[in-house]
Amino acid sequence: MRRVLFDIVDPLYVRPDQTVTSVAFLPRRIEGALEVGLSVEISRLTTYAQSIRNIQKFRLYALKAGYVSQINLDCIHDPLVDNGAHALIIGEIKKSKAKQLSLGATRVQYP
Amino acid sequence: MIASNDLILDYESETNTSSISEDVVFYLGDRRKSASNTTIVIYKTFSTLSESARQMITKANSFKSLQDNWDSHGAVAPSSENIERAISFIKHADKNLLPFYFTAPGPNGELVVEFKKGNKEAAAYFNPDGSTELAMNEGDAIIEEGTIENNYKDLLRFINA
Repeated sequence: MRRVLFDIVDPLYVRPDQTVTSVAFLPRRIEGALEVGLSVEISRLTTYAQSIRNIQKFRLYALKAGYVSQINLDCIHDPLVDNGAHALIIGEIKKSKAKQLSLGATRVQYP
Repeated sequence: MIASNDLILDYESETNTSSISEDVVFYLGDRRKSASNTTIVIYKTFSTLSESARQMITKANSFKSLQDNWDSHGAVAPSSENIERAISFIKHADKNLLPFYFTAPGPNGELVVEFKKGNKEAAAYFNPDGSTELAMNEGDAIIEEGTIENNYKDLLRFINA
């Protein structure tokens, strides 16, 4: 099964050619510790509107799960109480890996 | 003006430029390589900032107004010191006519300054702890990783090759 993952990004991360910058894919440091994985959503379990909620504020990008595996990262389904589509990209995500993730991400236009 | 290729490859001019007018461009070759395989580095002296550098600096300065949680997902705002480090780098890189493309804050207070020339891209990262990182890629392939301090010459070679 080919899964597509959605990532929601701030417009400051969007480059002039509508691709996304690598820093959008850097894990966050929360209370001194890096988060376990990058939060994304499984596209078939959500919709554009559910994912993005505020179309003025955010932009939506898609990544193929196969591509994520290809660059030696893993995707796991991590459903939350209020978001059954939630998933995580896990692995050692340094700057070059974040760059590779950004290269695989494509903008999803508002339907 | 084309200088002879026995000049030293560096991003700092080693030429006495006091009598040179604005916008003079030097082409510096690497004397460690043969003439047929010369690495060309372009160095601009006494020039005002390019329009693209000016735009990068304006945008970087605008990040000073960001507050924590600026992306609504808990992003840490970059410090003024970190922004100034990135701006100093932009001014420096402009002297080498590096092709600026984009700058952005990261989620942990870092900043990235990106370059793009055709299929080649490079990203210079300024981390909140004062460290730097540099990543170069051509298409999907990561060509080199390192730091700005150690790999700046590699960046010049990569972009200008």
